[in-house]
Amino acid sequence: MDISDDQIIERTLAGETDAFSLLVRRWERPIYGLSLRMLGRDEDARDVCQETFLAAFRNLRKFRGDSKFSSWLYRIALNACHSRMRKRGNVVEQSIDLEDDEGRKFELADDDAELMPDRMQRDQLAFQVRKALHALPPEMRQVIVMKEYEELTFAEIADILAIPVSTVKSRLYTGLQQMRARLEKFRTAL
Amino acid sequence: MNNTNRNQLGCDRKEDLVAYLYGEASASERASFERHLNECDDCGVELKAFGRVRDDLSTWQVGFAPRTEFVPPKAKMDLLRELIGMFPVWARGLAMAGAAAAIVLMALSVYGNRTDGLGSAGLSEQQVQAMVSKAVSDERAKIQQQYQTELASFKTQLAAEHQAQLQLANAEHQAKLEAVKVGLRAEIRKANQQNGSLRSFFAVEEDRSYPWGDSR
Ligand SMILES: [Zn+2]
Repeated sequence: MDISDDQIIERTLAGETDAFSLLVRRWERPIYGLSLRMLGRDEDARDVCQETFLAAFRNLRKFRGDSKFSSWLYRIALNACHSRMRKRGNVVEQSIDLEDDEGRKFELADDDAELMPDRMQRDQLAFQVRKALHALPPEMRQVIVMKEYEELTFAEIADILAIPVSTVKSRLYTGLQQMRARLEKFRTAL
Repeated sequence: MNNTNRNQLGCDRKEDLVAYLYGEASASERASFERHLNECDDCGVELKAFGRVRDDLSTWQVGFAPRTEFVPPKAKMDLLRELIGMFPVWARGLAMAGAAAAIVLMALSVYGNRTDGLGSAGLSEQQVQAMVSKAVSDERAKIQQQYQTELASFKTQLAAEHQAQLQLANAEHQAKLEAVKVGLRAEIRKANQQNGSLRSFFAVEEDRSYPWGDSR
């Protein structure tokens, strides 16, 4: 049952193209998560997800196995995210989807704040987190997203981005610093 | 609030701090950084603040992932084969026009593979063009021959039936034939369009006369 990614790739390349859908099922969640946090919009994230798996399928023979399949997939997805950001001129802040998973709108309401202080504050915080994350330059955002949400190691991130581990660390540091500044500003304004 | 900058200037252990924060420091690095924390207030303050940022980041959870629709591009070929299989035996000669389209698709996928990586046969564009032209003309000759043969035998068959049967049977047959023709014309039109787009894709100059050219 525990067939490895490499085994599935082998079977796909041998002509059993349906086997590839096992890889899609296995990795669609992380790829969607990565794309959503990079782009902020569900619709874009779905598109990137689709593009990523199609590109991976078409280029499967180029995958040499030097790094993990997932790293290769992350790389393809990040490239797709970057080209999408370039296309729309990286106007990230306006394009953040202000909805949570259940489609509820985030609102910066203060009238109701007394009614459900916890819930409201949590929602507002989550909204501020998205905003702060999307205000970061993409190079820093992607490192934070991969570390915090995908829980990749420094070495894996370095491999995906083809940069030294020390650069990964310094980008994380600077990214966290900028996040901290923004979020502390929000907290003192509360 | 501005002690962030002070720390950046005042302390050169930011990479160690990040490694420590994410639990990726080795035992000795950890011990060394903990010793540093005893002496450096800035790093201590920053470590706590970064921990808060991480807590904040964790508020953005993605509860679900939409199912990604993935259809392996190769399935088109099988679809076409099935389509041809659906025609009655005597009509398959005509339906082979569909097979020409299949050849075109296959040629396309050879070309696509070369650029996309799958296959990576290392063919030049000229080689692919030659392959496509040859495949198309071979298939066309084959189809023409099969078409002529089957049409001739069908004509003979039809003539025999004409003589043997009365007008009613004839009318029935005509109606049947007409229905099949409608289907085939649509199929041939599709195949021709595919042929056409391939030809313009490669700008291959070829004889455009088809035995069923009037069906356009
Ligand atoms: Zn320090």
